[in-house]
Amino acid sequence: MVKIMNGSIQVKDLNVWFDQNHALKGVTFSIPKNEITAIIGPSGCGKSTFIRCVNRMNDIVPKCRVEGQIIVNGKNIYDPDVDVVEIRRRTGMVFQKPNPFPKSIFENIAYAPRIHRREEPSAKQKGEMVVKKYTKKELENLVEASIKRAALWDEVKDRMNKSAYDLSGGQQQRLCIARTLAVNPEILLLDEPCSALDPIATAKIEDLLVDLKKDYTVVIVTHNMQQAARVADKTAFFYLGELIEFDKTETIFERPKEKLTEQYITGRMG
Amino acid sequence: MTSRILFNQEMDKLNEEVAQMASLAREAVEKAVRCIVNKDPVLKAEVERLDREIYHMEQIIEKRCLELIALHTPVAGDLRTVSTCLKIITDLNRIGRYASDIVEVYEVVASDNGFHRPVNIPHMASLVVAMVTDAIDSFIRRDDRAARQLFDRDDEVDCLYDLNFRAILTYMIEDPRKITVGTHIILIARYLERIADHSCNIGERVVYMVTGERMNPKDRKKSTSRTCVNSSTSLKQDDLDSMQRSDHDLAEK
Repeated sequence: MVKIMNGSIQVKDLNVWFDQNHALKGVTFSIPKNEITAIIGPSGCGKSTFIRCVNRMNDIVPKCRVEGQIIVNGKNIYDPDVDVVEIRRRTGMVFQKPNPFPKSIFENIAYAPRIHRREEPSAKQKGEMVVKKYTKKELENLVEASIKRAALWDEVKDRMNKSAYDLSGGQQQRLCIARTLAVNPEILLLDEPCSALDPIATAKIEDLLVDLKKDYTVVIVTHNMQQAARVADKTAFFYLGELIEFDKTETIFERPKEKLTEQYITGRMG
Repeated sequence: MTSRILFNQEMDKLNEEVAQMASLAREAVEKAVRCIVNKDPVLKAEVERLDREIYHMEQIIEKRCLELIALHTPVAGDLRTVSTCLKIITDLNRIGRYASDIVEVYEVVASDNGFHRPVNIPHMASLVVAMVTDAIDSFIRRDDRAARQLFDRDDEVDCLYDLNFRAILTYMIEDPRKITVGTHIILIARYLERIADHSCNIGERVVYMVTGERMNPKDRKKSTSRTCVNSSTSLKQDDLDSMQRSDHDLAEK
């Protein structure tokens, strides 16, 4: 199996069909590393379809066909020799509605590392990696580090064994981000992560994303144009399955090149 | 959808108000020049009234711009329009102020009957009024090409200012009794030159509003030699040189 290395995402002539519906049409662009890229566009334009392609979640959708390439550090993730489970581990995803497991806060974070375990250099054979279980202490440290990285630690450190459902919506969403971080991904995909949150929780998530981009490549789908303007370095505008414009966020929101982009962001579409 | 209708209405009001304020500024400059050239004291009070009205409109428009930003978060072309309006109302207010400054020296200039030779003031004034008019029209018609043409004409006004300055200086040296009125006429020339500059500022913002292009200050002043290229004035660098020579001769005498 080929391992996916960390890095940016190059999308080349990506086409997606759901049965007869051509959902993405020849999308080609490059998502830079350690930046936040926002995907904007009206409902049904292919935003979510696109980010679901990046961790191959569309593979499980019946009658879905994907053509083209998504290259992460020189390797097409749609090549037959790629380990899909590994791709999904290295490409964390957070959804619109917080979806913690019906478990304790601690267990929400510890669940995935327990399954994936961890890799370390083999003591017997040089250059080889061996998979090992986390010790209890290692797991505790990992949970704490992940929750701290998601800026949630101070709010939950005294109730780690309480149900994750006791947390507020914003806290649950940050818990989901922490859960993603616990398996050491390289890419974070967020599908409208703040649409169910109040402005305070939204601000916390946005601050967190800006902080996280130092270590991760972040792709966020959002309907909130101001959110894209606030946090994203680059913005891609999709319309009817096509990538209409991709540029620096300030360019998109100050002087977009395409008339369609201008019409959409100024609310004059349709 | 309702919010967009409201937003569009607010944007329409903004454009109308800026056009109205611009029209007042143009009227103020025109009347200030007529006040001085025709020695018409009635116009002095009228220009001062216009100046106050322009200032009042600046406050109204600024408030509307801030409300548009706070309540509707405009982007792209809308954002450029709002930011342009916010910037050009300062220029229009300054134009109104300069018109008021011009009529402020009315009494001094009107008291003198022997200062006819620096005749370039009316010509300079007509160029400046035309520049203000065209700057405003470029905003209303969203015409970035017309806006860019203002910069060449600004060079012409600068050139006229230099010529006027030299001419008036020469007459003041010839007759020291003319120093008071001469100084005030130099001030008028200076105010007109500044009004032309503010017209160019408006033009620069119109270019940004229409195209998104931020003009390089160097592009504004392509002609650094201050040569009057427009044949309408027939004023060349040679005129400046000959005037300098006559100054020198006068000083030697």
